[in-house]
Amino acid sequence: MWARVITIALGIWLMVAPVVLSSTSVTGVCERTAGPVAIFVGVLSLRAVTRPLRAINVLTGMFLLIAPWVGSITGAQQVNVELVGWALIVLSFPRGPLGQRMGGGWSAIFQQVV
Amino acid sequence: MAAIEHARRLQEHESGASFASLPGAEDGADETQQKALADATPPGWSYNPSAWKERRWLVGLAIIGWLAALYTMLGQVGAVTLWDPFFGAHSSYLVTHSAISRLLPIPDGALGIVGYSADLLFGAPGCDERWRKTPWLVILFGLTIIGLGIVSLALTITQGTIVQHWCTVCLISAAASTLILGLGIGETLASLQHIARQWRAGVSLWRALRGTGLPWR
Repeated sequence: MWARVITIALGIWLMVAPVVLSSTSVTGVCERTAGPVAIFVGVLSLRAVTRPLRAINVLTGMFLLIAPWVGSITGAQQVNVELVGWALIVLSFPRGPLGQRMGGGWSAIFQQVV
Repeated sequence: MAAIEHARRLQEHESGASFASLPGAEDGADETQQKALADATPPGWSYNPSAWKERRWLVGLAIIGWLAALYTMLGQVGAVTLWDPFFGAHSSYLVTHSAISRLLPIPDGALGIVGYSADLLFGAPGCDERWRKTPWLVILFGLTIIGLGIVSLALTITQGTIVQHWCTVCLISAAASTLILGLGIGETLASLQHIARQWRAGVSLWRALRGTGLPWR
């Protein structure tokens, strides 16, 4: 739960960060691309049924660590994207208690068919 | 031999014999009713994703999304000026009149109305056993909410990156779509599991989708 809440908060921060840190165009675009994705994935991962989707935020974090280097980047922006990028990756790992049973989840579909 | 067994089970299913043969079915109306309620939960699930208790939130959010889309479209055709307490009416105007919003021959607000209408059409009707009685409807619902969710995410990204302005009503619609996807997709999982079980038992995909396969227990 807490991992998802922090993920969503970081996503919102990414959407306002370009204004607060006056990010250059490339870094700003990266933050405003990664932000909505982090929120979308974070909200969906709140529920047990869609909890596996949290893995997507590993890619979101990696994108944030790599993509801004296409353009120029200043000290504050660099610290920001690296901290948030790594945080998104680390926060994708804890699964947390599921609380609900869902008949074996998504993999059960394939186990039945194959 | 398997075919005879299949036909027998099918006959039982159609005559309701399999339901009547459940233990305790003859003990008073109350217990039967309770049994029927418990029966609506998919096998292996701790809750019933098709229950109205679960789906009423989806319907509420879809109505909010539908109204937001209607309001956006009215703004796009010039009938109203969009209310925007956070980013200002001008910012909303730039978003709803951007090149992205005109990619289609119709304003994207109209596309939103179609999306949320489909959401209500596929998500609202049916009973607590939608997941097994009308799997085709639940799968159409699942495809609709996945589509709405992804389009909303893409539009939110374009607001920040391409248009570089924001629109409060558009963000409300995007939030509604995301919540609908998270709350609603469980039902599609239950239907897909049901179809997979039927498929494994030798029922054709067509029959499984129509919900006319073998008894589910």
